[in-house]
Amino acid sequence: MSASQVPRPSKKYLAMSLDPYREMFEEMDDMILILDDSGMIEFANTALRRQLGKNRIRFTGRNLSERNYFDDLLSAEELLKTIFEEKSFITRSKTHAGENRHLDWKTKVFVIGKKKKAMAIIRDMTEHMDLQKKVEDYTKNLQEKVYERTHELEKEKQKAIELHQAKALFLSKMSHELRTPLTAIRGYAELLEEDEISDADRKQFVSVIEKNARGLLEMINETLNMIKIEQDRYQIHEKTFSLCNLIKHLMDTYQVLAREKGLQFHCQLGEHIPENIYSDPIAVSQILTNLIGNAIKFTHKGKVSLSVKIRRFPKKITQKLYFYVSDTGIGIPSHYHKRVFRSFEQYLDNQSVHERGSGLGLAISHQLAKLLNGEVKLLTSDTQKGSTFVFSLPVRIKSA
Amino acid sequence: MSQHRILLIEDDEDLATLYRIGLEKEGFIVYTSKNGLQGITKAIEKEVDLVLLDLMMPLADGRDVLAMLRLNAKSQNIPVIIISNLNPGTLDLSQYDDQVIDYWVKSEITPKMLASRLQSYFS
Ligand SMILES: Nc1ncnc2c1ncn2[C@@H]1O[C@H](COP(=O)(O)OP(=O)(O)OP(=O)(O)O)[C@@H](O)[C@H]1O
Ligand SMILES: [Mg+2]
Repeated sequence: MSASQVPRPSKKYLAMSLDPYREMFEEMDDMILILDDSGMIEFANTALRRQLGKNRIRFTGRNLSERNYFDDLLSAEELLKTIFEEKSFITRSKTHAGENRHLDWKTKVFVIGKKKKAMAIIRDMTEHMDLQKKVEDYTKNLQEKVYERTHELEKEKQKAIELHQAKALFLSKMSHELRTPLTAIRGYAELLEEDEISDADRKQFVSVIEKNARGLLEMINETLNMIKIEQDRYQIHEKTFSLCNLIKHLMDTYQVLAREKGLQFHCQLGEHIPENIYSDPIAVSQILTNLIGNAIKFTHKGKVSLSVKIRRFPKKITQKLYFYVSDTGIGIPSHYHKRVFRSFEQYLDNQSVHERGSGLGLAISHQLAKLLNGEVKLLTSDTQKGSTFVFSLPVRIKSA
Repeated sequence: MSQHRILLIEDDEDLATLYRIGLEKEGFIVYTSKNGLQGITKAIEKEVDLVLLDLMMPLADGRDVLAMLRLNAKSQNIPVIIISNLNPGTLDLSQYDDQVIDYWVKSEITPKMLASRLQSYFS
């Protein structure tokens, strides 16, 4: 807007001393207001009028108390009083467009003739304050981010430490658990070298070697699987396979082991168990092997059972299989229930003999079940009555 | 043939049997014990000449057994050799220095080697 468009205040109200500088004041970027101590406005420059969106209104000759143009918070009297106190202060006013503006006032009182007048130089601080607020927000945000990141880093560090400890534990445990069957294999092989051994002894030694080699292989496989799972490299291969055959195979294997320990081992198939299912047979078999193996390993009297049930969802191809593995064994004290699924956790109570194993079986089963969208849970375990684990598995049923 | 009495405190059945057979072949009299507590009683009861002690065991592990053996007047002078598959590199073996003759890693010794090492110890 050019100066020529600006309505000129009538000469009558202009302070005489202002006259020569009037043009100059008009054109200044800062807003200028001159008023007397009664609140009568003698001069308001273009910048000020424009600021208030009231460049068509003649401020000159009006009284501040007619309407408070400048501040939403202060009354006209308060504003006038503050101006004449020669303070610098900040007001908040709305433009005609409804924007909030922050105005920074610097005032100077002078006396012309007998009249007290004040000149205010007003600067719009809104952008500055917005910027300041932005900087503050940004700083705050940054601080929060730094805090968050620090926290994350601490967590990562803690994780790294735990990982390191787990690794160290893993190595020392592994070396012990690998050396033990190797010691047995080497030792019994040496015994076999002797000429004068009975057939019964020879058979016995070979079977011990076989057992230890199998255990060793199992442990190596478990370890490799665990590493694969932990690195997200374990590949699930789903296909249609016979669930009944898989169970039969498990029964055949574990019936022998159970019998050797004088345990009963039963299997119970519920109604509607499908012959064929679509899932990963290796993973399913591995999970059940671990659960049944544990049940037999940690039971010294009584029985172990596998019971399979199905939950069918009408109108859905996916159904849920539940494998319950129960035993009458040594049980797990309740404070240890959560820990059994962690790698290398083995509960050693004071009564039982130390069982071989790396403590990986349940950790692997737990992870494998997750990969199959299922779950392995410890349902109940009691040091008096034994334990029940359940493996739930969503499967697609394929009719044969 | 030596008639030295050896107590083998080892919780792993396969290994206990293995060493018992190996040592008996060479004329040792071998007692075995599957856990530490039973081991202490046996050591005293059978007046053994030497204890072969595993470290990782339930019901008082090797270290506890050693401490208890050393506390009892009847057992405090029985020589002990630790046999374990724990990695010697990760163990603080110096804590056993005054109390044991040696530390042997089981996977390094076959039954024959065990017997001959013991024979040379007794000779
Ligand atoms: N059926 C069970 N009864 C009692 N305790 C159990 C049973 N199953 C698992 N546990 C406890 O949980 C621990 C962890 O089991 P997990 O199968 O992970 O390891 P493990 O059997 O000791 O070794 P691995 O399976 O690697 O050979 C076991 O050492 C044992 O203390
Ligand atoms: Mg297991």
